[in-house]
Amino acid sequence: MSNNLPHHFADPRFCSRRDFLNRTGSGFGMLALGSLLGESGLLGASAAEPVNPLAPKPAHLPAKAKSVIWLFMNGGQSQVDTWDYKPALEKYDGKPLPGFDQKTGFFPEEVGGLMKSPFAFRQYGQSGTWASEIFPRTVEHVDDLAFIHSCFTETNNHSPALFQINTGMSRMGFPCAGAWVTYGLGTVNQNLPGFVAMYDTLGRGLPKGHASNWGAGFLPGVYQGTALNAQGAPINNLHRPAEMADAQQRAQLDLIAKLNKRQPGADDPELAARIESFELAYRMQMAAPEALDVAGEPEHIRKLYGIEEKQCSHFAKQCLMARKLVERGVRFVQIYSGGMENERSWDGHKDLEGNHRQFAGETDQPIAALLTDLKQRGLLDSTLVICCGEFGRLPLAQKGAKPGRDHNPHAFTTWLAGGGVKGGVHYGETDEVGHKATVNRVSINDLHATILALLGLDHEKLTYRFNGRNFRLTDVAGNVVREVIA
Amino acid sequence: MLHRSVLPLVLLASAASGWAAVPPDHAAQMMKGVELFNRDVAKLLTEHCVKCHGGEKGTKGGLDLATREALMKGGDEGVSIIPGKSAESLLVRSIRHEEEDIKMPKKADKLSDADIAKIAEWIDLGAPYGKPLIEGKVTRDASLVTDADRAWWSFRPLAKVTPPVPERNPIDGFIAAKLQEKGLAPAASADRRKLIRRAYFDLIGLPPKPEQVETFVSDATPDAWEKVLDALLASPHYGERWGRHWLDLARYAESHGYEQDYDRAHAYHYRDFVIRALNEDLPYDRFVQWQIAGDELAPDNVEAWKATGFLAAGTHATQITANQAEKERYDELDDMAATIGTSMLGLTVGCARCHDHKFDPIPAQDYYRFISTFTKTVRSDRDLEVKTAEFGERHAAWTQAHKPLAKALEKWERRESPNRFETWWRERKANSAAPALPQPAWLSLKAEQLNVGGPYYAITKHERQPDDSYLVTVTAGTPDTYTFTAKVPLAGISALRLEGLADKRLPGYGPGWSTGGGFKMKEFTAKARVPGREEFALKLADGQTEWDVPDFTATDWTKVFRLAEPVTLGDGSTVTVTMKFDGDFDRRNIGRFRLAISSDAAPAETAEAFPLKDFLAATAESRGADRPANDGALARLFRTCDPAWQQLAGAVRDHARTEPRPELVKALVSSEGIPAVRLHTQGPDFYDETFQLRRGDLKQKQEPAKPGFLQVLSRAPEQRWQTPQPAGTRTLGRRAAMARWITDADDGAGQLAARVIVNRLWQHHFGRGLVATPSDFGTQGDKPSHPELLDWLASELIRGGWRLKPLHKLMMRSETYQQAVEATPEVLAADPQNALFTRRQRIRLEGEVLRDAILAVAGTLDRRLFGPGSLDAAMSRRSIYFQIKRSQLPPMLVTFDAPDTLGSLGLRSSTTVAPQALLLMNNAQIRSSVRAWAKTLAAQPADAVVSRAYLVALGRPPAQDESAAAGEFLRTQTASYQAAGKTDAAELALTDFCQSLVSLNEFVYVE
Repeated sequence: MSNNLPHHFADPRFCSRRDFLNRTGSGFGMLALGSLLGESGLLGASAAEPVNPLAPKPAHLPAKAKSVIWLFMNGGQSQVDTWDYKPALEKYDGKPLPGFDQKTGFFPEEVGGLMKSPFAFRQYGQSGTWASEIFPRTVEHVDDLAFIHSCFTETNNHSPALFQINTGMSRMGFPCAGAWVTYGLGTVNQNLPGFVAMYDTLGRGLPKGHASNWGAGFLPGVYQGTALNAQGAPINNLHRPAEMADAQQRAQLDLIAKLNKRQPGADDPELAARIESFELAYRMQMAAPEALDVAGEPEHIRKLYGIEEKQCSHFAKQCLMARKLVERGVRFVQIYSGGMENERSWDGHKDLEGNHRQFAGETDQPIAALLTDLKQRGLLDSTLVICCGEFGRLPLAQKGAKPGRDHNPHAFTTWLAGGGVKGGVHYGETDEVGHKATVNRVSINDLHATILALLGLDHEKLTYRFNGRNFRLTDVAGNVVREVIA
Repeated sequence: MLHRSVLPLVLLASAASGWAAVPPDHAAQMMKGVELFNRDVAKLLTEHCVKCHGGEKGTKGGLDLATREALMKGGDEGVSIIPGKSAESLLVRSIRHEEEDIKMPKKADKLSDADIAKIAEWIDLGAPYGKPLIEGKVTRDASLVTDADRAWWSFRPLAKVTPPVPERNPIDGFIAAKLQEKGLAPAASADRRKLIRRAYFDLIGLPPKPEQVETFVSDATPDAWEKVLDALLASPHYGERWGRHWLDLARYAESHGYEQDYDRAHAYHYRDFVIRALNEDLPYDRFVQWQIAGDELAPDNVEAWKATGFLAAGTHATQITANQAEKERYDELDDMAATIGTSMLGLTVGCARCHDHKFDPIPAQDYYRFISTFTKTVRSDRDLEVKTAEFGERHAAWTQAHKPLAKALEKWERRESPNRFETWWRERKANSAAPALPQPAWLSLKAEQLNVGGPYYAITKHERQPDDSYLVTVTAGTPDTYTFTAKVPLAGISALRLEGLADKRLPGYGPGWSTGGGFKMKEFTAKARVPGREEFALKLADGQTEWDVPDFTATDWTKVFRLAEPVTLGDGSTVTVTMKFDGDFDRRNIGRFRLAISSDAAPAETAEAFPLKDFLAATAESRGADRPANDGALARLFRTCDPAWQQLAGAVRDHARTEPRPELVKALVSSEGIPAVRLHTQGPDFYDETFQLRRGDLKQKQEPAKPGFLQVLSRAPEQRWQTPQPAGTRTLGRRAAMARWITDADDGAGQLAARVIVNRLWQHHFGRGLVATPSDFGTQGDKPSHPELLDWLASELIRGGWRLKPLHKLMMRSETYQQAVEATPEVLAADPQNALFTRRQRIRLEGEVLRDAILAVAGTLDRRLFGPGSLDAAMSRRSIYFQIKRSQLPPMLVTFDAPDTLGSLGLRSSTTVAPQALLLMNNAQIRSSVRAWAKTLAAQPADAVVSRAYLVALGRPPAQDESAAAGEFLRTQTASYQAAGKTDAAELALTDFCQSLVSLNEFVYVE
């Protein structure tokens, strides 16, 4: 039997649900109990001892990072205009790139010559990191960031590339990294979701592929990201019916508990868990709005993030929420900058300069503030911050009145910061013009293996059995990039 | 039969291609052969041959005798042995020294005649190896499946089992046998209130009404239980309940997923097919067959077509770049194959995509042969003709009315027409001045050349119709440009005419190719070529040539393009018309069209056209001396212009247009040779061949895969299922072959398919399958807890003509099913997982059932069946009628573990999380439902409200302490609302109470 269980559930160190109840009494938070009758956990619904699938679980190995904030530059940030400085592009500006496959990007008919970056580059920090002028505040943190310049992916289109970087597979239907991490480590604060996703609140759409980007795939649904609604209440069903006050809901919950408890079998672990779940829900109603409230933050914090700045206010709020969430023990937060595609995101097919200036303007101050804020609270050591898009952009121009850049699966830069990351490091290289990763190439599987390693998870051991097969986030590949780990 | 007995030997079965040569006593012979091998032959070969052929001195002459596979490959001289034919085998001839150049063993003595005879006999017995001749040398051909592989329990034929205790329900006998082994007793019977609730939720997913409960509780007849079961199995809601289980397996959804997650507006017909099929107890083998190949197996059956929505239900990338197109196609083939494997066979076929299956005997070759079945299969929105009885009557009436009109015309043409022509001809010959040749207003054009194409991988065909119109058939892509060239030697051309004609072969009866039969022409241009002159444009009087014919007209349309000034074209001249259609997204091209030209100064727009070709022929005839034939061009021209004929023919034509047409239902189907649903893709809809790939890598294509089945589940040559398609058949017949194989309970996969489905039935009735991994019957899945019971049930299913309803009844009539939840501590300790079915397992309602039950209890459930789904969370139909849009799955259902619809799911998770409680507490739809219920309850006498509420929600009256608690709650809660200034305090308090009842464990779980 036990070899059919996901490894956590088979591990005797993880307390049974009943132990958990006894040990923690009524003081514990969201009890996400599952008989988890997926193929993985063939626990009989009533007789077995279901465990809390979201209870914190020890990592495979000791590690610094406990939480993740993933800043997702949706649409594909251009590496050669941000963090991968390519002076050769000035030399070759306007010239064709020999041997270029016309079908590399999305618009084969609009391929232009090589194009130098419209932005000025200079070196920053002790590490002498070359960076573009569009991140005037983030560059102050370069010595805390580890850059992987040699990331590459396998598809040249948004949706499959988004699935690949989030789930490791370009096909739809696999669990994303956030779900895997929450499955592997559980979450500390049971009054809040373990995995929160935030997308554009300006009505520019969801990332392509929608909720599948933060989906749990075949993992139990408890591990999927809770996407905060862009409008209205951020979490569904969080507010009690309008006609009802707290006292009346309390009385109703007391009645439910009383009637439940008198039934035969009420001490069955699963039934007991459901009785308890109403108390947890009652507490979530208070905890979640508090954690997501940025209005109550002190003035200097609001100012730091740029809450009042028109251009970046929306992203600033999300970064500040992310900080509050990890501070309260949420395991995994992912924030998408930009909406669906084209001019609504980093997808600078037209007017790359205007596009990247705009989105850098939306994100630079909030990201810098997040790093500052995490550091000053002592949270940066335990929080892994990731920043990247789903692919990079071509060093060639995409023809147009104002030139843009088309998709480039062959190279993009990811930076990591915080929990266990070695700051000021540059790993991997692209070719002279930044078209393809050439030195120390890092696949998505490698990137995922590295993220898991920073969290103390062995990507080869984090498995889940589904439809007759043990699945991993890294499929059958993945090498940890040790060079970026402190 | 062959291979039925499993040989515990290292026998290597012949490849699929060798089937025809296998003699009936093959297995026995092979067994004898192995004996001989082990006793004598191995030693002989080792001593005299293997050293040079496979051993330390290599493989001289390319021949390796170390293993049978290597031996069978032969050497440089070709085939070394022919099993069964020793005398013709090179090996035997060479050791007999019958070959001039090859006398073996080389540089050694000839073998004794006795030893040679042993080797020859061994070859005659099939040359089986007991083991490799060199230890550790295994060159097993991984593309083959062996009898050892077939020995896995689920691949074996169904065991013939006799129920252990004949006098009881056989199920109880099987279950009791295991219990006795462990010294355990089953649980007591559940009480009737619990039983009827269990049956209702199990079979129709709705709670029983209080009256239904009371009827059953007080029914003293011996068949009271059976009556309940029969009624529920006959309920139309049975199909909704069990259809949902199947939809989980079918990864059913109504949108494409991926980038834009476009809706599949016509996908719901598949869901309706599933519900209807289950309600009608369509035999399960046919249920399976139709989902794979209903269009091929029952092309006249609308439901069979709808069933193919199964193949179409997977996700589909809606924005595909040129570089990705082929990979996406392989993904799609994989989705179809994997879903069939998982849902129907409990096998993870998809694992063999990149390598031979690690655990199950599914070689990569089998995988690619399996997926190549679907090489040209595409999803398509197709109009299906629904021929009701009422339609039949209307059509018969129309036919009746049409006959006299047609007859009148025919009679006139036969009797009247020749006389008139005769008179006219004589008059014309007699008087050279008159009368002139009749001039039809319009002359229809015959294409010298017609090209239909476009940039979007269009695959089209066009066919000239008897009336000079052209029918364009599209099988892929979005054609957007038609170029039509015709010979036109005419004077004074004044206008061109384009007709769009209705046709039953077009979507919505046409005349265009858009989903509703419309078309949108963006531009119409014409140019002329006259010998000795440069090509020039025919200038139209009105440059505005756009023409948008709306959907759903199903009628003929006409548009006339007048020339700016008349043009005269002489002999050898041609006119080329170019029509451009909107092809940006959907197909919007014309389907059946006719082009005509006029020399009339003011031609009547809709006048019947006469073929230009015939007109020219008539002109030639008119110059001749002899009277032309009555069926010649001139006679026809004369007739066509005769007002009497025009009247009669017009009547026929007008009436023909009123021919009743069957109702069309557009459904998402899968088939070949019909146009694919096409979104934003830079590639073709399918590729002509599916290649076997190394490691699943498109850059490592090997040979094209020939359609086939899984060897491990095939006990006959493939021709048994593959029947050649007649030439010109639209579809390939490959899916039909697979459908026959998968349900063939004698020699195909049918026995496994039967095991898998009865296990699923068991799983939903008992809370756990006899095989606890219901979609994995392979070597990595669990083995059955009660193998004989499983095989017996599967045999019963097949014996009963694959009908599922009798199986439900059989299971539910067992005492095992009717047990109570409660069990003794000894039983709980001995059977903690309830793997022995020592008691009833509590089952948490699925999200759909919980929602439906709340609506039913509240009295707000709309019980209508079928039709398009809704995205509205507040809708009041059963949850199965939510539109399943992959990016917007109904939040309530997702909270309660509804599937993500991305892959086949055989076993839902059943979690207990706080968001579920939040939903029951705060969700607006639940609150409004219980509020509606409270309003109706309030009409009851005050002292009856609580007990009525208990009866409705829980099927039982409240106990005394419950009544007391409820009464107390209603009083204090009313007071509390009053204190808060609410005017409807009592109703709010009752609402809160009702909400509490549907939140109780007793409501959320079924015992």
